Amino acid sequence: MAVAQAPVVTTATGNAVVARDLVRRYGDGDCAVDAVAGVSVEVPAGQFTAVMGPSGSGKSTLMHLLAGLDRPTSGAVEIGGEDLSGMSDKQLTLLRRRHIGFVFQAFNLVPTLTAEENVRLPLAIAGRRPEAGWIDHVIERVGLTDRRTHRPSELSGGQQQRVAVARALASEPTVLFADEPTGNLDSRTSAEVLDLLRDAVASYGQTTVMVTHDPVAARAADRVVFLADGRIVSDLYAPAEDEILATLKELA
Amino acid sequence: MTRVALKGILSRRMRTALTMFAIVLGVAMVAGAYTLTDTMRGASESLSDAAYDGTAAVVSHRTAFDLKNEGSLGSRPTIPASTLDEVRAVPGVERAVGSITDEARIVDKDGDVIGGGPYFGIGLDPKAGELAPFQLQDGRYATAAGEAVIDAGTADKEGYGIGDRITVQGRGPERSLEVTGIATFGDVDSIGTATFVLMDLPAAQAMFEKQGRYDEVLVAGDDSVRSALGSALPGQVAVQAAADHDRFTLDGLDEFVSFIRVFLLVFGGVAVFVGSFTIYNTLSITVAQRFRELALLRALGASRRQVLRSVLFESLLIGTVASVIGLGVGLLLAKGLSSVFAATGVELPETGTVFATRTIIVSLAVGIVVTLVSGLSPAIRATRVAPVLAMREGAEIPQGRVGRRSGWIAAAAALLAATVLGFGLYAPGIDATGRLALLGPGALLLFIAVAAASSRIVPGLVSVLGKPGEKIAGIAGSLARRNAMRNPGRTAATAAALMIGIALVAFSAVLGAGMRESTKGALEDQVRADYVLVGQDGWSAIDPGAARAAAGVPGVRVSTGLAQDEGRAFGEHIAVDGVDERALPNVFGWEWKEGSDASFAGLANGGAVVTDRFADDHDVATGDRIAVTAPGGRELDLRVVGISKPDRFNPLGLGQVTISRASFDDAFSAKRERLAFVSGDGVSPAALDRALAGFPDVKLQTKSEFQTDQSAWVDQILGIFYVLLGLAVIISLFGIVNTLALSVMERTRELGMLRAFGMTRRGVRRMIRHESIVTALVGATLGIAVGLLLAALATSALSEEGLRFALPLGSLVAFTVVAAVAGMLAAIGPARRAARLDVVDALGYE
Ligand SMILES: Nc1ncnc2c1ncn2[C@@H]1O[C@H](COP(=O)(O)OP(=O)(O)O)[C@@H](O)[C@H]1O
Ligand SMILES: [Mg+2]
Repeated sequence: MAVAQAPVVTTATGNAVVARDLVRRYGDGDCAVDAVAGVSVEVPAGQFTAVMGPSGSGKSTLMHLLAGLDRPTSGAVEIGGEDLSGMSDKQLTLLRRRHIGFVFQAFNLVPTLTAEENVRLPLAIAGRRPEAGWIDHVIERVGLTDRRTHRPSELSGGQQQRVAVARALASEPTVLFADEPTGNLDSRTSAEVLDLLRDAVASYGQTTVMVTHDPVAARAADRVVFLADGRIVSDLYAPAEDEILATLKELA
Repeated sequence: MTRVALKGILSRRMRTALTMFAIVLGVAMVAGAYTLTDTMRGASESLSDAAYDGTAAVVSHRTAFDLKNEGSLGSRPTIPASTLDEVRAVPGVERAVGSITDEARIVDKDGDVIGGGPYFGIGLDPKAGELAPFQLQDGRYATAAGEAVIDAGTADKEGYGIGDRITVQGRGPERSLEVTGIATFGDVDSIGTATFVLMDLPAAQAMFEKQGRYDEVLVAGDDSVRSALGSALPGQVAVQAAADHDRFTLDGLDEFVSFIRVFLLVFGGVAVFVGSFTIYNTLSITVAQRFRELALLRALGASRRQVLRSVLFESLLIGTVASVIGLGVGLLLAKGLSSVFAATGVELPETGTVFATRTIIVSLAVGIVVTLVSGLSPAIRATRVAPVLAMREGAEIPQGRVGRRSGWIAAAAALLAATVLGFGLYAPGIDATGRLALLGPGALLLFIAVAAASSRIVPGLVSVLGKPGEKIAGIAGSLARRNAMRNPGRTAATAAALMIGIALVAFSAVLGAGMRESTKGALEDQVRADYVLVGQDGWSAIDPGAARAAAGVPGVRVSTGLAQDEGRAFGEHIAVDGVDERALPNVFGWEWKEGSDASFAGLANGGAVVTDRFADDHDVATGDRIAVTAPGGRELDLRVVGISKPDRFNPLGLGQVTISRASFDDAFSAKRERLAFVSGDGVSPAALDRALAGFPDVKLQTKSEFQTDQSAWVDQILGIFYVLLGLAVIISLFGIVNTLALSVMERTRELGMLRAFGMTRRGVRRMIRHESIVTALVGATLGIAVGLLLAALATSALSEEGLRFALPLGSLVAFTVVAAVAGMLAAIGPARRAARLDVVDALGYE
């Protein structure tokens, strides 16, 4: 199956991801903690959403739920129109293949694979053959054409994260999730990676959800959702940097 | 620091357990070997006491030289019955009886010989009392012809009781005897696989054609009676202590025990050697994994010495605990093996398990020393961890210097191996046993060389061996192939352990195939008969009546036996064959160095054919005269009429000197024949079978059956080897499990990523499994290569003995498949663990 420019899969309402009344509880009894304590959110297709909040506010947990990596204690998630409730581990895995791409804080490239092989990995896992030129295109897009045969250990942090972005884009996912993608980078390379993500949204309409606690990073997004104690406390569209800072200050 | 080591062990329980297992098995083999053989030796001593304690002296025919093969019973001439009276007249003799000790087989209802030999046919004077080890359990002693007492073991197994009739074959065709009693041998039912038929003395004399003669006179008295007898009796009789005379061939049991001990210890050594690789690997991994913790300790002020001690203490602790467990397991193993022996009919007297101090010391020492030595290099590496590494993110333990050193070790070991093997193979003046013995240390060095070099070979091998997996399992196979190359040193050490086991298995298989081929090849040329008559077990001598009976079957042109006995020539022990010089050339092929088949005619008047090797060794040429002494003391003056050039492999164990049957029967006492050949036109096998019905000890085989059957022992021995070497393979599997488990742990985050991107649990399992298979295949490939090399060297060392080289391709393929399957099995645990990882947890794993 070859897909060139992915037709963005959306629900009838145009949302790539929909979450209703999500609760994720850790532990039970007295020491139970609701890392996510009742979150309903819609991520429209083609939108770049940032999730912000203080450390421990449940950002990562929410992202895992939205990406089908974890199951909610209660509530429902729909990705690309598919309801995740009641899916088996296998079904969830196959769903991630179809719909989800990831960029991690720790890059998580496979050290034995070259940059290009890392980019191809999700397609290889899915047993999909990319259309001719597509991988070249993606690699060129992240500016690593001359580094394609390098191994991760031969690349700088910023280059590694660019490989990771290319990898996430390669399978043309319904949603790209990025958890603190700039967390391990300096400000200059952070900006490059954010540009890449922004660019993917702009040119392919790539739906992107990025967890970050960096206000500079969040400015790249169309929308910023603020979490505190597992709840959405604020939901701003294209906020200015001082608006973000003010909201964070309020939450701290 | 001790606490740190202890905590370390506890926190890595699984890996520690797997490592211990490697030592436990090796130590258990060593402890088991000692305990089993000590117990057996104790049993054989108590048997010897029971058999010979009441007998002060045995008077028998003097032999011209020590007989090597008295198990075959009958090489020693008999003494006249009058000797008994002479003995009785000697002062100090309290009591003396004559006795017959010959061969008689008990035959079951299906016509098969019972037991595995020796088959004692005893003529027993009822007045013998203490002079015989037998104790009646039931009934009475035989007092007339047609009666017999049998051993309790046979009675038990076959369900014979008093009054039953049994079929017994002594000299000549079988006959029917009535059981009048059942006896034990001392306090055991029987010894080993032996059977006993106790007959009335005159009846036994008649059965074995020893009328008016005895095999020996048994004397009661005190020990001084021997010297009195010695001076009183004529020179042609020998006076010996009963244990020296050893009429029940119990020395054979002792030799068997010594052999078993060495045999099991060798395999124990292999297990320990393989185990040391697993230990080395695990401790290396532990150190690599703990380097941050070690660096922290160093940063906090721990000295290098303290780090070294901490790691060594860990190995000491593992080694000690595992050795103690191994000792216990060894004890159980010995008990288990004893009952295996008992189950196969080799019953040992209940002397209780002998658990010697030596066993404890050696086993513990082996286990602990090997663990410590294997742990030394990882421990030294641990001391090299610089304190700053504790602070640096993502730092890894430096490896450069170790890599270079392994190169030197490989080169040095290879050089030494080449020297030892070259010396063993080509240095003059070493016999075949010596050459083979040098193969052991040579192989050991070769293993070390290949193991040390393997981290360099591994990437290439993995790359090739991983290719099929890539085709089969797609991305999982491709990732597996690369994972196996990720840490070549680790994969190499893991595979090297398997290499040793597989190398030894392949070595055995190739040598075994060579022996099979050599046997078949030699017999192909030698046997010209249509049928061969041979002992039930394939090698025991047969009754000469069989060949005579076959001669009477219609169509049979030639039916002739080959008799063999021990002799002495040029001060050396030799085997002498007695053949019918007219019949033999028709049924047996001879290669000649000097002479031709026509030379056989010369045997008739004091001629002899000698082998080329014998002729070379003693500088003998056709026409020379040689002197051969028979056990009974007869000197034969023989003229060499031909020099044969038999196949060096000599599967039939033909003698160096061949003489005419007439001269043979005249000078030698062996009555039975090594084997016999039958040829003719239109001989009906059924008629032959009928003619041979009275000789249950004889098996009738066609030439091709005979060829196969004569090498059947090779498969039996290979079977035992495979089982014992399987142990080494199992130990190396634990190494694979260990390495994989560690890799899974190290790659947790990566596994989480793969799962996040949609790799299924099954895909993860597949990936781990393929990595394991590739590692196993690396071990198998290296092993088969080394095994082939060693086997080729051994074959060339033994080429003097006529050993051919044969490649058992099927077996080698089977070993590779077994290795791959073993790799799959080893992967089960780690693969399951990897597949079960929670994706979110795995992604957050540090
Ligand atoms: N596996 C877990 N078990 C128990 N508590 C957890 C687990 N994972 C996360 N938490 C808790 O849930 C809360 C939210 O965590 P997380 O989503 O990682 O926050 P963030 O990404 O915003 O820093 C925290 O209080 C954290 O302690
Ligand atoms: Mg987080």
